[in-house]
Amino acid sequence: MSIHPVLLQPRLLTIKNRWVRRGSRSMKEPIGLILSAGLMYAIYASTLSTLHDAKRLLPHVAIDPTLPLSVMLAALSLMIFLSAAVAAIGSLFLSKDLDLVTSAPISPREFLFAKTCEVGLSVSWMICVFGLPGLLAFGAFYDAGLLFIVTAPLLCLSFFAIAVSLGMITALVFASLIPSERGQPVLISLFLVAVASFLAFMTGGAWPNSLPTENPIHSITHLTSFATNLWLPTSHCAHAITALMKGELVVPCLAALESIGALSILGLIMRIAFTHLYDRGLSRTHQTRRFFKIHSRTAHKLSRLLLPFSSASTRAIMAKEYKVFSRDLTHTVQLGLLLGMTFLYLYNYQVLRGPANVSEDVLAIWQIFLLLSNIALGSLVVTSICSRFVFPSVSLEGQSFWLLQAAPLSTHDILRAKRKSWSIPVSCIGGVIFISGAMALDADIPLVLASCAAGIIICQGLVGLSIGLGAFFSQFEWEHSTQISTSFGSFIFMITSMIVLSLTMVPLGCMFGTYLLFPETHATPDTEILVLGVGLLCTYVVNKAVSWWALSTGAKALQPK
Amino acid sequence: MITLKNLSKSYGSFSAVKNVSLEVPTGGIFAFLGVNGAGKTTTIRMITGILKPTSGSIYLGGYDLLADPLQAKAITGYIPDRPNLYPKLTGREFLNFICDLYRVSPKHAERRIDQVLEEYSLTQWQDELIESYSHGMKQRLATCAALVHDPRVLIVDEPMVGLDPHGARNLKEAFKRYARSGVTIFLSTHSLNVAEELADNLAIIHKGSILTTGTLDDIRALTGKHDEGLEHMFLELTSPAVGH
Repeated sequence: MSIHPVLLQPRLLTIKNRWVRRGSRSMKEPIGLILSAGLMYAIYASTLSTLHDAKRLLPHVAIDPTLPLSVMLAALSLMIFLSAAVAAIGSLFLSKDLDLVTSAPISPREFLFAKTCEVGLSVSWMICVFGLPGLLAFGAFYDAGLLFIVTAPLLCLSFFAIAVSLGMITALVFASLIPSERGQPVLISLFLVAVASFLAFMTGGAWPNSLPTENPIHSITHLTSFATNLWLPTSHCAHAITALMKGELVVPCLAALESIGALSILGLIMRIAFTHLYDRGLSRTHQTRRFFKIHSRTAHKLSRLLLPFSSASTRAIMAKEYKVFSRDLTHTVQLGLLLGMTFLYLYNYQVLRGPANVSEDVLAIWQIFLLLSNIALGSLVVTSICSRFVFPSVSLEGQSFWLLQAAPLSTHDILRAKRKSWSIPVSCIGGVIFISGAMALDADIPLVLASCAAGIIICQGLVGLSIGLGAFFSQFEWEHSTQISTSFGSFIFMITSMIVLSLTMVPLGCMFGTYLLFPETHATPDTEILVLGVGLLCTYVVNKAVSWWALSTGAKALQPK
Repeated sequence: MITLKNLSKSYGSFSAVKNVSLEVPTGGIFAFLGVNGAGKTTTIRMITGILKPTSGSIYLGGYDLLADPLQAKAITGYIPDRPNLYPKLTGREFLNFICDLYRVSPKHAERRIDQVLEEYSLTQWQDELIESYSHGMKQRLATCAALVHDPRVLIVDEPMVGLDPHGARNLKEAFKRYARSGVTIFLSTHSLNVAEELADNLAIIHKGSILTTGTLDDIRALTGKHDEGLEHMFLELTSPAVGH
């Protein structure tokens, strides 16, 4: 099967033109490339250093790379699946080139193959940036030869193609089942499920605690061992890479055959799904009939009641953001998948609560680690939410951006209104994640509250950062809206947010450390407030500064040129 | 009402607009004519504050657009050539959004929205999403949005694109009515019959520079074609020989 050049050519030429005819955006691509090269090196160096440290600490234990490789591949394939599903909805059903392509003499098979390649290309940077350096670090640690360097990435490529195919199939099924006008009811249902799950989580009724908690190492091993389940392709791929490191060829060849076999079966399923579901999905996606009738006057009055303290223009932008968000099917899909991931995270997190039969000091250090990792992991979930919904919000103005440019509003006002729009929902989601995580760990009430406050402050910082960088990397001429969240700018946002989170962990680490290791510091309510207050204040300063910098940079980039 | 002084816009070494100076009097319709790529849309995008001039200045109702953009934009309405609106809002929600952006009082906004929707035959579509509108309906809604806050200056770029004959006729009548009520209309078009029918004054831009400006009679006197229509004079002025 050949890739139809007409379908992929525009994408490839766009990438080429971005480099050849950079114009006013001349520095963005090189800066992005340098940052990603830096991140790749950091992942490579830190993985290698961790492996060397582990060997130094446990000199007589042979470290089996299968488990860490399985976990790495599982996490990466989950990310790729999620991104591919969302990108596929955009590419197959919402892309602006559909009229041109579907009216051209191109066979369905060529169309599907080209769209699959397009989706694969759009998520390929994740594999390159996050997967490749980790893999090479393992190769370097185990002194694997040139054969490993050449064949391991190829093996992974066929493995990740499985995630892309699954994403395509999910998109085809989803679009044919849920028409676009049902986006709002689905969103409401998702919200109700989220509230019910949260209530169940808080009361503890629906969350059995059958997993081992005596030993934290056992808990972590138990938690991560899912990736080594034999039925998962992750496990096969990890075993094959491990075998490649040892210079064996039989296991990798078998794994490659398995991957190709699985890929062929998935390709067949995708073809069948495309043949039977695509037309139905396409017509449902473009259906404009509403499930609920919209009462514009009532909605406007309601927005004035619900957002009473904002200026008219800020309120207008906020109300517009919420309406557009709730009526966009692609947002509903992404939100559903992200909520699922969040609850999976919260469910699993409670197995790490304090181990029994250990000294007070060890318990305190373990709690500091858990509280910090709760905030760090929760922040990563918030970062994912921001990169999916908040970062694209400026670019999503698309060709309607002239309305805001011609209105009597400064670019600062526009960005501030957007930040305000997203601060409220993201802080609510973040607050729930942080407070649930801290409660699952059985932390003291002041620490639960401090975790929640820190989480909300971090959410504010991340929202400011994503709006600012979203404006800086804004692209108003997109083919379909889901392109923005998988764009290079979104990737830069993720890297920057990691750096900001690392900075934020310093004052929070000091705060939790002082509180838990030195009980005398919170002997009285005054000192308790002082310790927690100073920590939170420093966190606030870091996040406020980041948000201010990002919004200023973004506003500058959006000014008329 | 609209003053452009030595307005220029360059993209690298390419000059899209070169030293354009214009004076548009209050009230009336000013037609801005030119062939494709002459610099009409670039000039209009500078007047609306979407593009920043490389040099020169723009005054709208006495406000310097570069020094005091918010005041200048507040008295301006803009109808673009392509009605790119928010597809996921209803027509009425969109107009409410515009009223809030331009700080129209809620009571006046409701009344005014009803008026413009009625005037442009969109009342029965007000609660439908814009994505379900036809091109002509979108164009009419964009016109409603430009007028809903009662602007003193109306900037219009190719207004007849996508309108059916009834819509085009209604819009032309509406422009005449607004001009009589004191609104200054800056109309960019390459439909010469529209310009001839509506314009009190006009300017012709070619390759980024103003070739001529004045009333139709002024241009007739300039070209020495006293009995010719605008089309003939326009073609003569913008012919390749003149351009070179």
